[in-house]
Amino acid sequence: MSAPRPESRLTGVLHLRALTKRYGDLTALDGVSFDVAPGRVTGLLGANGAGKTTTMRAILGLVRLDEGDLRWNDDPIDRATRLRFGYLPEQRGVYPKMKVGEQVTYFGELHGMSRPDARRSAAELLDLVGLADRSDDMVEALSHGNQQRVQLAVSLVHRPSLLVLDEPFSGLDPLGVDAMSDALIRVAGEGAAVVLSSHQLELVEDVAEDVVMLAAGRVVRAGAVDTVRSSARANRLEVELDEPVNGSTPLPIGASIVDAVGNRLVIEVDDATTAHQVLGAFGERRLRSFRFEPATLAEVFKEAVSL
Amino acid sequence: MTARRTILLVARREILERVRSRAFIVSTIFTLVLVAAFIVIPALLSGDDEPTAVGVTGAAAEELEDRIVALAPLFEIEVDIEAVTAAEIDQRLTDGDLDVVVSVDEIVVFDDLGDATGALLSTAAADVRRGDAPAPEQLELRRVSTADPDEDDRRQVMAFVSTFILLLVVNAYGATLMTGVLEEKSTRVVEVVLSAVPARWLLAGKLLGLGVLGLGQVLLIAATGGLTSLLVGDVELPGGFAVLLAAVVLWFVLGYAFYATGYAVAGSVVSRMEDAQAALTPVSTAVMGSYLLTVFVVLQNPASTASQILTLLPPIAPLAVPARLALDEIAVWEFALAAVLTMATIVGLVRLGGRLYSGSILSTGGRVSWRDAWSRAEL
Repeated sequence: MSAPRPESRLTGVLHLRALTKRYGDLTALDGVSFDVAPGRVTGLLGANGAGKTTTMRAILGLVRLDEGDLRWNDDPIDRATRLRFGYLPEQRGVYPKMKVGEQVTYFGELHGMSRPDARRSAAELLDLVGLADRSDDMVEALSHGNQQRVQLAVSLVHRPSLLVLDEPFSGLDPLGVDAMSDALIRVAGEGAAVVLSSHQLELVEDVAEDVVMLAAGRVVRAGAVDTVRSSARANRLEVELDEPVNGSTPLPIGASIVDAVGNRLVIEVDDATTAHQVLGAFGERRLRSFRFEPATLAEVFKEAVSL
Repeated sequence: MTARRTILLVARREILERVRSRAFIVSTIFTLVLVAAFIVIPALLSGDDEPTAVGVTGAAAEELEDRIVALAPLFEIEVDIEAVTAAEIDQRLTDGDLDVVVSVDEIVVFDDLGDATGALLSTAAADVRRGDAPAPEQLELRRVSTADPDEDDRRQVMAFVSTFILLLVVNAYGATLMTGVLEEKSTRVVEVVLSAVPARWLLAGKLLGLGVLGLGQVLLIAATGGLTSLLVGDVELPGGFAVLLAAVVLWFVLGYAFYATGYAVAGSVVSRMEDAQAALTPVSTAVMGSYLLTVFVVLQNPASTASQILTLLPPIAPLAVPARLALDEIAVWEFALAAVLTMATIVGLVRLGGRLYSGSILSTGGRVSWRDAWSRAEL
């Protein structure tokens, strides 16, 4: 891969303030506010219909908001600013009857690059995603997975300051997920602000540093991943015994079994109770292993949504 | 990033994608071959092998007949000869079952006579009149027809052909535009494009790209038509053929611009090809209606008041004006007024179409109503 050119990115913070969007009786966004910081990956999490896609389309100017304000470094977002945004929509879309290299170059030019610059950048990116030798092939001749890589190259060709990806992991195999995560972490490392949406919360845990949780068009949790995880009212204790679990173990107040399979127990432990107190309840029984950790994003999300 | 550069980028992509496709190349060549064949084949057919039907009349009819038969091989002309009475000459010529009637005093034709036939008949008539003496003297030539029916026929054909070509090309490029809009929408690539480009610029680029492509094709057709006519040679072109070609090109541009936004909007309000035909109904009805009115009203009676009114209506003008021009039945002021009215309407339609397009292009699922498309537009 050729060296990235971080100097070509202009970094900035994206501010979303009280975005509201109604479709008839349905309120898709109900006062959504959060920031997307440069050099970091922000995960936008939520169930289907929570408002993730509408939020992203609003950032790209594809949705007219009923209320609210989008700002880039405190400035209103105009067309010139938006040309520095990159977008990978959930429903992937590329021109099927166009050559791979020309396609990526074309989108570079649409974002204001000169043709030579766009060509150079396209070649670099196709090299990066492993399609350098397919540059002269028609997009429709590529496999589905390779078309996704073209899509990623399209969203990155103009070295965006803000990269918006709607469900970037959907439809990818595990290797594809790893490659996508690496690419996003690298882009953020070059200084871009990256925001991605996903309903697969465990995937986001690995790549995102900040998360925003959406439910029914509202932000229910937001912040750094560690902060959000430790914000849960309950921690999580996983215990493995050397014999099958029977339900009779008397746990202290503040701890409750949420799952018991074979020798394993998952126990929710509230903030006032320590792991030590809970483990003491097992008395003489031998513990094969135990793990005490903050709740996962998925658990935080369930807790937040059940409010 | 200026509007101009963006629109040109979009237009360039549209042109390149089409020009490189095999289907486009094949259909273009096919069209040109068709146009050339349309001109060459009638010319070949009319370079006839049929004998010239000659009537002989007057007191010396029998002598004349013998002389013509004797001379015909020298002039390399085949003739069928029969005797006719003076009373039936005009009728037989008008009906077309005789090409020419000759007596010792005159040659009677419907409208025109080939040079070789003329020489043969005058030589024969002179021989009969003066015995064996050579006869340089010309006979009197009388025409039965007051009009020039061949010229009229040719003009009718030209009018019909130019109307038909305009219908074909406007329809073809409109349909291509509609399919392109729908493809961008159904592959969702339009979302990525619109994250960088305002909808109106995208539409403008697509209209421009396909318009340039269509114009190129019309010019090719016109050039092929003109060139083939010249090469074939014995096809007589109606007066003002070059002017007609120029007018066809101009009215293609106007006709395309008039209808194209309609096709584009039809493509943008639906998400599936199956629904596109229904959405296109208002546009295709207007196109076909204009064509039928042109063929059945304007071509039949180009000077009538109805034709004059139809000529000035913007949806019909692109077909009716070239048709009337081909028939040599249009006044300069009518041509100019029709062009101005059409252009003014185009400005309004493009604005309306741009608004409907931008209001519907990002919608998914079912068909967007015109009202929703109108009220959602402001991207």
